[in-house]
Amino acid sequence: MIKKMVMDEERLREVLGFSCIGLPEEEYAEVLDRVNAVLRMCDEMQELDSSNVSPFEWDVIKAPARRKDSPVAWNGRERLLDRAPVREGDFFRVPRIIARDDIEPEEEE
Amino acid sequence: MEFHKLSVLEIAEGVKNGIWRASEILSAHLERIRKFDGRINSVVTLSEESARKEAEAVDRAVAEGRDPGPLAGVPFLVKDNFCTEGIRTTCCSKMLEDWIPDYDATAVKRMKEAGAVLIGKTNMDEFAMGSTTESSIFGPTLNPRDHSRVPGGSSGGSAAAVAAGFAPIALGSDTGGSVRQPSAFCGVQGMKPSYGQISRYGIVAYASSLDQVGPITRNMKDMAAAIDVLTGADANDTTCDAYVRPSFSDAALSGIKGKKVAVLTGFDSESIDRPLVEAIDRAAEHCRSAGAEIVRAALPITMKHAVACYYMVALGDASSKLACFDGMRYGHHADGKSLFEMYKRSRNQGFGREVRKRILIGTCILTRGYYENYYVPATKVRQMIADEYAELFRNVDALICPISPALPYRKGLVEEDPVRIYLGDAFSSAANLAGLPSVSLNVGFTEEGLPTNVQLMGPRFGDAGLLALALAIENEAGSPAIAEIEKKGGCGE
Repeated sequence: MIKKMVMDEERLREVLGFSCIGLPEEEYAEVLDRVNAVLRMCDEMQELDSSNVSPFEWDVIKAPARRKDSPVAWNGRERLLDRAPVREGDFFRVPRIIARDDIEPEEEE
Repeated sequence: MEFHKLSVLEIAEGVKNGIWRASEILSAHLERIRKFDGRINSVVTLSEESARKEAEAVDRAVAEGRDPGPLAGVPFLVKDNFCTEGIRTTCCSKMLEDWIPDYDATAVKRMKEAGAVLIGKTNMDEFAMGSTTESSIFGPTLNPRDHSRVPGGSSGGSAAAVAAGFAPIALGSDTGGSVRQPSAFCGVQGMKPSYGQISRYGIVAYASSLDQVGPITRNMKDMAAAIDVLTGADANDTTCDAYVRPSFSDAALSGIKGKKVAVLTGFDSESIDRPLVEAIDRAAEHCRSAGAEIVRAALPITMKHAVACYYMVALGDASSKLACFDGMRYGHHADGKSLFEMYKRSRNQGFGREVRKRILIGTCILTRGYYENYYVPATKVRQMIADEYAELFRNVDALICPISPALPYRKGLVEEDPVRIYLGDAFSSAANLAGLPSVSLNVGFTEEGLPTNVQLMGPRFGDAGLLALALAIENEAGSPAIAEIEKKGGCGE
């Protein structure tokens, strides 16, 4: 049985976590309105009887394109290293980006 | 010589025969972009240095008697979500503002191998999420026909540039109408070929089960020539079919005598701007003059449910695709005290408002409860829509219907009424859901100078027949002229 659903603030907080997106609290109402407007747009679709229909998948392929399962020589190493913001010998030099003690936590941007 | 008025085929023919050089064609187009693009903001990056080298290589090939390729010396632009070797590819987002790919997308590579010269990248809605080209970090593009209106989107920069005579051809990507709707708004021809015709390798995905590459030109013979170059198997994109294609340019000339063409009925024509309803009548009349039989057909499931189904599928797909932009592997990075905080800050700072909202909606759809009640039903409705079209095309050769319910929107509508903008995809998105070829064809302009385009659709892999239909109508209706970009403000002034 298909159910019509509404998104509330609690679920929005959960979804923000899943999507790794922050949102200022003053924008919650606007986003909830938008999400629920999209869900309402979809409610009529749920009323179609699709019980005997399989989910869509691409099956019309006349001739599949496959590449050979064999190793291919690649010679882009120097070119890529040259484009690195900071190169150290044969390596990219990257900054430490997690578990830094010098970063202050911020309010939602 | 007004080189910017030449078509793709005229340029290539002239270059091959030594009538003009690729280098002078390039210079003329670069000069026009520099002189007038400040008015509409359609080009975000010019690649003059590499373009000069490519044009010189074409001129050398001609001088040495070698074949310079079917698109010899033709300047082309690509949407800024196509990877271009050594040229920044930003998706018009802060997330990728400094990203320079190491390779060309297959579509770009094929154009270059055919002798075409890449002159730059075009503006777009951020990550192709929009229908107005207003959500770009480079600022909005304006419609070259009327600067108070939007060019459509998300490939609005490509369509506007072709209409303005900055290049005779540009490439865009089409997930729910993103090549065809801006082509309609800017008064040029745009095509989304069948799913599986053109490789998507090297295009930053929005929704992979819907995305397709599409050319934008000012006439249908140019379109067919581009389709000939762009289509074909690619080992880097296994969704791209390896069947042997016909010559689309030859097929386009085959005419439509004896073909059966359906005109869509069963939708609320009161909700469509009147000039666009009249455009359908005109297109049907042109088909009749060219020898086709006109019938009526309804698509009740598609008309009622395509747009809702499209948003469920597209946004669910997009939220997964854009998860890779996490501040570590690609794009913008912001420091954070914890791993999660770093992800969140990077994504908040890197993505614009519209993209963040679409990711949120997409993530919501894929969570428990919503997945079973919304996403899964949408995938079933998608199958029903594909079945409805398959049934239609058992009885007719092609369909004529609107591409957009509205003439080009006034600027700023997206902020006032985002759901109305979503509903604008009602006619265009079905072709993506069912993988069908679709052309946005100009059949004239309103008295105010706004373009009126119609949508032509055909069966899956019926691209050749669809090109023949589009050319037959264009032969009757004429191909659109270049926008008077020299006149400040366009027809809106």
